[in-house]
Amino acid sequence: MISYILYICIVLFLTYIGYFLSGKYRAAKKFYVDWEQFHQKFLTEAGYARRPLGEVIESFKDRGAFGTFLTEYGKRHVWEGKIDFFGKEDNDFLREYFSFLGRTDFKAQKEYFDGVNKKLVSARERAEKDAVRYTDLYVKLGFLLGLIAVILLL
Amino acid sequence: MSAYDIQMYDFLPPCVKSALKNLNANLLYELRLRSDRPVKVNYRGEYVFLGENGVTARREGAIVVSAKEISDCVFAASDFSVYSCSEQMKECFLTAKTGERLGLAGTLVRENGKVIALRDVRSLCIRIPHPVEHCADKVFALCEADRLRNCILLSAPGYGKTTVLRELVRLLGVHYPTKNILIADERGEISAFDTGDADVLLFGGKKETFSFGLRALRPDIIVTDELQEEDFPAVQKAMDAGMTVIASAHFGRGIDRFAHPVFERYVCFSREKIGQATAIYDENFQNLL
Repeated sequence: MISYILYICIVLFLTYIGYFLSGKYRAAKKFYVDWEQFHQKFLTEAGYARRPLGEVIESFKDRGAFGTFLTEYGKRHVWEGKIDFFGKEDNDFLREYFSFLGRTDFKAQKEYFDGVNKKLVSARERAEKDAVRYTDLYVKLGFLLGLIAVILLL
Repeated sequence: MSAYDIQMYDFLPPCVKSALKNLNANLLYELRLRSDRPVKVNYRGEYVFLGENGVTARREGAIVVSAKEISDCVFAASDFSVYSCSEQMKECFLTAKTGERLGLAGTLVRENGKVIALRDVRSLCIRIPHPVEHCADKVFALCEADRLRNCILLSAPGYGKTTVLRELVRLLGVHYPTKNILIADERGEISAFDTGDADVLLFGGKKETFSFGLRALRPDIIVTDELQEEDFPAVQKAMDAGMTVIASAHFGRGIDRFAHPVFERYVCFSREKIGQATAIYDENFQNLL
């Protein structure tokens, strides 16, 4: 009886490890979702009331990893670091986006960020698909590894 | 410099900020930053170069700032939101959060004959406001102490009109506590320091500010800075409506050549005594000093 419980625990543990290892894809998805919402809010606030960037940033500070990133960025309004769960391409995109934010008049900002909009939406969609695909894959791999381990123990 | 002073210069390039720590902030009136050129300052009323250790007469010893540093400076002065200052920048100025006015030179972008933006800023003229208590005592005593009078402060740029105007607002608040004061602050300079109970309309043109202010805020006194030729009809209208107007204007010639004799006091300033009235004329152009 105890050995059966142990086998179940091994399968559950390795499945959880699989889920845990796919966390960076879910974090990337969440980051892109928050980033896109920030982007839309920035365009609205900057276009309508010309609110300073600091006020828009303030309203996003409690958004997990994106909020932490914004807090860091807001200290000097320069971003030279990298996000751990992002690949090189994503980090370059993030750096480029925030190096232009707030630096020009609204017309130039709108022209640039309207152009970026499509790229941001497609990056968010890719991140969402990746999160589903890799979570599924890693969980299944973890489960399989658990089964293999149990078979080997038997 | 005190912590407050350092905070005021927060938007400046680090090398300039560091050099300014060697100066007495009370004697600094203006900073001139030009892309790839030596930094100049107006210190004690004289233009000199700014070196790493303070002011210097030698051009070679001066700090040189790059176009990137100027761009970063504008970005920081705009509270990291250049787009929120587009309207000001179209008129080639920017008022920093801490009250300094930055005059800007760069490329004006036009569309359908109208200026729509100022881009590629390459020169900055930063005027440093100074709250100087008692600098307006004489002006107040001769112009407003016994009763409210329409009054205009006249001089060429940089002789301390705005400083005196700001102090006049404070004195008016103290001596006429029941009067409503409206500050039509087109460039955000008068209200850079505490203006007490006065209502402040920021960054509007004189015509619209006078009109909105008169109807919405019912002021007894309107204080405004840098009247232009086209602003005088709005001033006259306010006076006709019974308001007292206290203003300043750029005018560096003889008072007999001033084209708008609608005021009751004309206060003149000169280069020799920055911030001190050198002549105060009444409505008959008799000097009261």
